[in-house]
Amino acid sequence: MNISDKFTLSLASTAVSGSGKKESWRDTSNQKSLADEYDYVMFGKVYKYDETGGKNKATVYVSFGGLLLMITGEPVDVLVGQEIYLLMRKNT
Amino acid sequence: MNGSKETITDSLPKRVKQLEFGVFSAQDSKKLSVIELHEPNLFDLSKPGRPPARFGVLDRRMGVADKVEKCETCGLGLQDCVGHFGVVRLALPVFHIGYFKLMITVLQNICKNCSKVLLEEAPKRTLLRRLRRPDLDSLQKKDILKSLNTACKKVSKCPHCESLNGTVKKVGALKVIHEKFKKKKGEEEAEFRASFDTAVEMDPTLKAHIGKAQEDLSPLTVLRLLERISDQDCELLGLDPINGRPELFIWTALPVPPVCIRPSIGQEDASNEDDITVLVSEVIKINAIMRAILADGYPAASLMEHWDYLQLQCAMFVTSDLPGIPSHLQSNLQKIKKGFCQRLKGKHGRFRGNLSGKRVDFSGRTVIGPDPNLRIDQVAVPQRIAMVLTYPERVTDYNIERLKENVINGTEKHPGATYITLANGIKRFLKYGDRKKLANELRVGDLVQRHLQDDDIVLFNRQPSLHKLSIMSHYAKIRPWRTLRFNECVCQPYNADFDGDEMNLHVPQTEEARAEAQELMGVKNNLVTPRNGDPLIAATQDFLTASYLQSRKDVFYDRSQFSQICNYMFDALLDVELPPPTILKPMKLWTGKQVFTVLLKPNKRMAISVNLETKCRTFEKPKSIPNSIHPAQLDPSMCPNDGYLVILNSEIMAGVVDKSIIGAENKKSLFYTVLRDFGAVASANCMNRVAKLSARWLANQGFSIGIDDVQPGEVLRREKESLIVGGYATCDDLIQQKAEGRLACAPGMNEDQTLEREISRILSGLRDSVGNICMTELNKYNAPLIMSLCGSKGSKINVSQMVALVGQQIISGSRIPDGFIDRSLPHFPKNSKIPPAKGFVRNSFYSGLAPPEFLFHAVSGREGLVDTAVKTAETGYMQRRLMKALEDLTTHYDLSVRNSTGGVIQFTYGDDGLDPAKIESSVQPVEFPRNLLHAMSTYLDLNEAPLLPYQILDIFKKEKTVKFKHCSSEYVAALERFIDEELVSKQAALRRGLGYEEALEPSRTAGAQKLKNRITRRQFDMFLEICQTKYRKARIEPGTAVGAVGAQSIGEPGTQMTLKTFHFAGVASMNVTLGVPRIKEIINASKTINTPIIKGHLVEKTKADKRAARVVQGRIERTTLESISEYIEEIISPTDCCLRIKIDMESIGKAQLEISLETIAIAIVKTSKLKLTETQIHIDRPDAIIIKVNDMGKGDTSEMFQTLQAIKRAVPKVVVKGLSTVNRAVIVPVGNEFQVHVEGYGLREIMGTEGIDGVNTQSNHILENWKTLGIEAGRKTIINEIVSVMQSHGMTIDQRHVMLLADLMTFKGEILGITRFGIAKMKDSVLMLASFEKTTDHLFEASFFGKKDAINGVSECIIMGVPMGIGTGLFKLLSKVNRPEDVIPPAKQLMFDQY
Repeated sequence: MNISDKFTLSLASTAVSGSGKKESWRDTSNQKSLADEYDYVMFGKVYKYDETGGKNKATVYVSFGGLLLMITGEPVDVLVGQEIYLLMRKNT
Repeated sequence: MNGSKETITDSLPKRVKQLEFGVFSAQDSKKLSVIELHEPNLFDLSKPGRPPARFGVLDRRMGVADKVEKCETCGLGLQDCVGHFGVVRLALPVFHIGYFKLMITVLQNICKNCSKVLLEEAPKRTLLRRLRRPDLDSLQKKDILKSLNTACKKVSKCPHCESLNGTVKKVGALKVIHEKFKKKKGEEEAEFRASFDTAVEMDPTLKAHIGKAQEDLSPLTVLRLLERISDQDCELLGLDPINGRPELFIWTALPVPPVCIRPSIGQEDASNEDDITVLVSEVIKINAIMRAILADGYPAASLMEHWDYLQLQCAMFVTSDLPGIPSHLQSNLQKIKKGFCQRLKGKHGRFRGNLSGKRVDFSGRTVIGPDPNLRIDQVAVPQRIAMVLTYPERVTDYNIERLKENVINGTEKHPGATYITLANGIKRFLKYGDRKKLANELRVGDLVQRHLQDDDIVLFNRQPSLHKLSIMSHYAKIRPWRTLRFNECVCQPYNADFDGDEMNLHVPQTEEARAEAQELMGVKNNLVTPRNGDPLIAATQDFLTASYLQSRKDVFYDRSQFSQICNYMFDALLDVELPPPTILKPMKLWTGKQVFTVLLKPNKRMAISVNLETKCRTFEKPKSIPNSIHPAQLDPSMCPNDGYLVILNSEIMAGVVDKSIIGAENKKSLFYTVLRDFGAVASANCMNRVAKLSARWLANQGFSIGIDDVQPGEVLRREKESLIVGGYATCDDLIQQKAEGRLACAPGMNEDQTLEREISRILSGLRDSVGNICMTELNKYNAPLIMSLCGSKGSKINVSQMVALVGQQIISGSRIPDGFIDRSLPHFPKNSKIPPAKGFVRNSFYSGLAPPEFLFHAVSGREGLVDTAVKTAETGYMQRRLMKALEDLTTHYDLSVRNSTGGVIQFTYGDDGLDPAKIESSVQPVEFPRNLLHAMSTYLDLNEAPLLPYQILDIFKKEKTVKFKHCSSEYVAALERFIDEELVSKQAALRRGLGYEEALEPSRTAGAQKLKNRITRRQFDMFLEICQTKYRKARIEPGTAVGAVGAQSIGEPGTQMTLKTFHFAGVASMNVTLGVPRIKEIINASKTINTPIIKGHLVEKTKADKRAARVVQGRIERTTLESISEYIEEIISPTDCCLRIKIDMESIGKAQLEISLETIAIAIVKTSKLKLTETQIHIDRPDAIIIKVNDMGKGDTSEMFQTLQAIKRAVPKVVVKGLSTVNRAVIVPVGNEFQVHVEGYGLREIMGTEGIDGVNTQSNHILENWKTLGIEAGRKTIINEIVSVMQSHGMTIDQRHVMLLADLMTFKGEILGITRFGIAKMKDSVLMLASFEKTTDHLFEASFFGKKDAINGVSECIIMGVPMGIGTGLFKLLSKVNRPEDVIPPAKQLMFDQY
């Protein structure tokens, strides 16, 4: 990817929509998954939730196996320890 | 008669209750002996084969020394005969050199005429009453005897028989004289002198010497005197009137020890005799001559000569080093090498070499090597060692099959056995004979000496054994080849490396010993050092490199690679669940950090979920992005170097794994966290996995260093050149400034020192900046850089020395000194101060050192070598003294610390009764923040309602009196503070920030407003539970050898202290002694110390006023007359002769000294040396003082002139103001106030100085603090000083150890140093003192005064071979009493109660 390339990035708590159960990563071929629509998918965990910013501002720290993501925005309903998928797709 | 000499064997169990020391009388030694010797020849030459002469020193009736002959007394051989004493009856008595000094004291105390103690009846009685007190300890007794001695020495006339008594003195080596007439001359003296008249008549030349004649106290006279001492007087002299009468301490018969303790060393036909044998035969020879003289009446002079010779020979029998032997005797005296004292004394003597430390069986030693495939608690034992070391295993139903195998294998095949001891006591050797048959006959109850096998418990040790972790218990693993191998993680406690080190192995021989070894000394139970609770056993070197490389952000593995790596660490013994991959698409990839997730928690069934947040070595605070929406305070995990480790439920979220994470000596490390939260086994398992993983991974990965790793880049070369040129130019400029005298002096320094300091500062800055450039220039795959970053080997300095420049070479804290005249080497101009001339090395190891640089580097390197050599000897001795002083201190069931006699040293160990090894944070047994994090991470449940701040407070208030009832108030207070600050206040602040209710008070509406950073009931309960259990576990166990552990904890770091002995404290250049020399000063309680410093605070009002400080400085600092006078002139006129001293009033005013002409005059008068009176001093206003010299009425002018000159010389040194004990006083700005720091003594005077705040004034001199402020102040000073020395060397020691040492040094009410004098005052036991220092002195004293030793302490128990009352030996079995608990038994009726 290059600078000023456009891409879509989404964060999701589950990759398979609607399935409440824990998902297996081993064999997903016969399941319909969010990942099918993206080129690049990572799996990680929230390890910190910073709400010291005041009203309507929160920062979430996510670690994808040591690759870190910090994202600040409006408060969201996530908690430390929650699993998160990062999905990316290059916009053509 | 002969039967009584044999040892009587007795099967009844016996216990040595106490040892009594005393002497044998002549009768005793005769009774004990089998023959009386009178034959000087050793061998009977007349008979064939030259047998030992009958009645000679080698007579076979005293036992034998060779394997063939049999003892003629008991008929046994060398192995079994215990030996029998002989005796030589001396023709005339001689002094015993061991008791000589003590005997002289007795002689000083008694009348040399009537043998009564030289005191009136009344004082005698009081002393006797004091001596008879039953609770008297040996020290008090010594004091009483000393006071008796001083009293008696003053008496010159015996109160009983009125005869004269003078001083009794030792002359020469072994002669005593009585100077009767020195004090009182009178008729008696005249009479005494008159007795020589006939002699003078015969030989007129004698006359000149008569005046010098004194009464000679020959052994015979002394014997007669001592015999006449009454029993009561004996008691008064501290002697036992029945068993230890004073005449016993003079030799009338010489006991001759058995032959077996003085064996002849026979070679072919010549034999070499022991020193003792030779000596005794000499004694017999002289004895015979003397006897002949006495019988035949030869001239007396010859008798005296022989008597003196006999005296010396008998002294040599006891000790071979006799100082001050008269020279005329020395020539014909054959020196022997070893007397009996020499056999006992010293490191290899009986006490230290054989009794306190013995040679043992079942031990092995060989070279060590590493093996990361072993568990940390294993040691690989070579098979050939395993076939020598055996363990006696009792046959049971469960092991009979295995032991049968062993028996069949025999001695030559592993796993075999060497002996069988059958249940009936018969022993069978398994090398020969029908082993199959023996195996078949093996029955339950037999004992098999089997070879060492896998998982046997062995003790493993490396010398020097400086702390308890130097001997640990491992599980044996029998392996081929010849070295002992163990996991590298265990190198640190042993301080071992593999450059040829050897280590020892011991095999405990009973099940009890094994159990105790495993529980107390097992590797897993000793992961932390008791010094401060830091983990010592942790990953090192390659393990760190591998872990670091693997945990970096750019490491990704596919499924096969990841699975392979996971299997490196488990040996296929464990279920491994692969974690979900980090990258799912486009292909499944795992990161290197996930390997550690698997390592910590291989599968879900393992209840190990570690939670930890800590800084790595490379941590750097993340910079917040300006003008962004991100928070101003970024989370530390956003560190650009990935230098902040976050582990959430055993998953690594961020950070690299380096030395601070898995290395030793860090309480925030991963292994320590696992140890504290999940136990030693879990922690050890993690270490095993890291070891295997790292070793195997690195073997595939490869890690090497080459020449290209240390090649500097172009940028670095350029930068370095310009920096060096710049630095040199600055230095030149400074040198120029100094030459021109423009250099401004730093406070308290002269120009030279200022220049040196400035240049050193510039040069070290130079090296640092070049080093930093070097570090940034090297790429991230550079091997030395990686090693220095992860902490496995080498520091930044090492890398930059290889790549960039070596830097300044230093000897004893300064630049290279001059070895030639005014220069370091002839390559430089004289007096050159430029960097290269004083040892600055601008080259790197890569570029190569120039010849002068090479020399300077070698010089500096040599200093380090010399220093370590010197320091090891010094610290070794310090350690030994500490150990001897503290060895028998132990905690009892009430957690008090007592010595072996039950004396209390501390009422509660360390004031709180906690174990230093179990202190988690720096002060508290629980690290609150981490445990809170752990509790919060354990229950991550969205559905549980969070607690509101007021609820948290309520819960804790309730639990405080329930769960934390038994905790110390300091602990509960600390916990309360933590909860208040970290939980309640933070939550309230968060709530406020979000616009919620603070909820510090109960509120009904607040519950709906939920925080994300919350704490729930379950989390909080778990936190409190952890806090409580960990505190309970941290309490010290009764019986812990706190003394020994404390001594090791203070002594061991001493060996690690590097040569930094001095350091600068602030601008005023007040040097403070540090390092080993300072520790030595403290524990020796030295009177004079290297750098005594008193820190004086100013009184509150004038604290910030520098002028006030200057006035105070003037009051303290010594001002001599010479420094305030302009000149001193002699005025000699016809009428007068005087000195006129012109005082520089202006400079006095400038320096704000409180000196007037009057005070000067008074100071001169008070200086007693000058012998001047007030009338001689005249004040010559406005600014001079005149000293007139009296003519003493004699009118002798030449004498007056000389007096004048003498005064003129002495008067400039008169101290007119300040304290003479003070060297200098310096004003030191501390914060916004000024302090006066004083170098010198005189705390009391300084505290009392006007303007000084006495309450806040402190000295670093322990004895002075004690004498001025009391014993508690002394104790506090000891603690503070030791802690500050250790801190300055970056070493932490738990307070409790230092407190114990300080308490031991002060518990007697005076400060006792840890020296032979101090220890002798702390302990009572003869054996303990004898095994420390001055062995024979203590033994002679003990037997002279009939001392008893109750064998309580550690040293005594080891010497006597009995279990000691420490540790598992503390508890005794008590019988159960069958009566209700609250009923007090009726008092027993005593014998006299009936009347």
